[in-house]
Amino acid sequence: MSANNVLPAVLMLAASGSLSVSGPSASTHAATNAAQAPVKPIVALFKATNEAAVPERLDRFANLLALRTGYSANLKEEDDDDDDPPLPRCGTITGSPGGWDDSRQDC
Amino acid sequence: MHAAIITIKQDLHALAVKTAFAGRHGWTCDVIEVDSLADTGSLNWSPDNGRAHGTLPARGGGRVDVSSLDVVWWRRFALGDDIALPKDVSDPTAIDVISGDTRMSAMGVMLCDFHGAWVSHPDATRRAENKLVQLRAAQEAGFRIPKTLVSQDPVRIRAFANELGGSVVLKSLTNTNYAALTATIVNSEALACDRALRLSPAIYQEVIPGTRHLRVHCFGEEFHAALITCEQLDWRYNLASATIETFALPSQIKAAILKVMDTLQLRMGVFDLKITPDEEIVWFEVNPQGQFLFIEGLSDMKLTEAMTDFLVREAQERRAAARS
Repeated sequence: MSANNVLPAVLMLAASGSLSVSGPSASTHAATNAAQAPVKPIVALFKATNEAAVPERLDRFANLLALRTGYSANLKEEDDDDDDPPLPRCGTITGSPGGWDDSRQDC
Repeated sequence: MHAAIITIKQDLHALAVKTAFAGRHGWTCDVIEVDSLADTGSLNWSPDNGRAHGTLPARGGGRVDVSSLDVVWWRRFALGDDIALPKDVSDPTAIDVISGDTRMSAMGVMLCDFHGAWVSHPDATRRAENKLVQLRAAQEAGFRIPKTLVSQDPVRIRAFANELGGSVVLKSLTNTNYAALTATIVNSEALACDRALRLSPAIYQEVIPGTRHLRVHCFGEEFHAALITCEQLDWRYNLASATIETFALPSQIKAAILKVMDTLQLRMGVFDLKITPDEEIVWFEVNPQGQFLFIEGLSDMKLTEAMTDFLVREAQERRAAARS
């Protein structure tokens, strides 16, 4: 095992080769579908085009709140690292940069 | 008294309420970021009840003995692809295992060792998220709900749209991390592709006319209603052109909302309703853990304070009930 690929303890059994379970690979699946035109569910055809249009008043409120709550300080620590993922869900007060997260409990 | 907020990393709602807890009540409020548990070494649990209580890591360091908590705000419990991980963990299977085992153990610690007030219980929260369950509960509570079809049957969908004059509102049953999907009015042309309709069920609804939308925050038995005036169908992505002001909710609507809350066993909920041109209030949905800071930021409504005070009341009532 390389130093760049740490596994949780429960995976050690599989990693050692004692457990071998296989199924259709993702690449096979992709190849099968490659010949077909991409089709999307109808709801995926309608995406918000102006999600970034946040009122200035809301921006000011969010920035002030971020300062007061320690949110900004934590963000700054994360920003020091270029490898960090983009802001997570609930990173904004309306939801997230990627969409409106209004309750979702389970991803 | 001791409160905790179960959520995911960098949740501004949680941090705002934590800050209000300290400022308004002098309470300790820990934020537990369930997607940041990997490599903390702080989750512990044993079935030996009474000898060792389950612990979870708090944001900023330290461990929370969950048996010591008086109230828990169950805000988010979604562990997606973006869980916080050490840099030397990259294997997709490893990440999936970490996510799954973290979810299962954190949930288990809370279900076994937390004995305070839930806002709201995870089982109720999860069930109430389901749009079909919500619509049934709203209908039974006496709300007018839009004529609705949830379907992936192209024939049924097109027939439903024809019955409603050719146009229907199209909505997803959930969100995706990868795009901001919006509710849209679609016509027969958009409903022509069988594959797109069959691929996945969606919600098709009657178009409710009007520009006055209600966002009702129900904390226990307390209501904070905002009137959002917006020309667009989906105001969420059009806040810049919307106006927001407080709204006095009619008593019969309050009663119906409380009935829905009771049916769904929720202690809080954020409700989306719409006022028709003839002043009828129509149900759209409930968000069991809906966002509210954007309303506070665009109005004079003090929702963070209201939410914090509500959590305090829940804890006090729970403690009083335990004593009696």
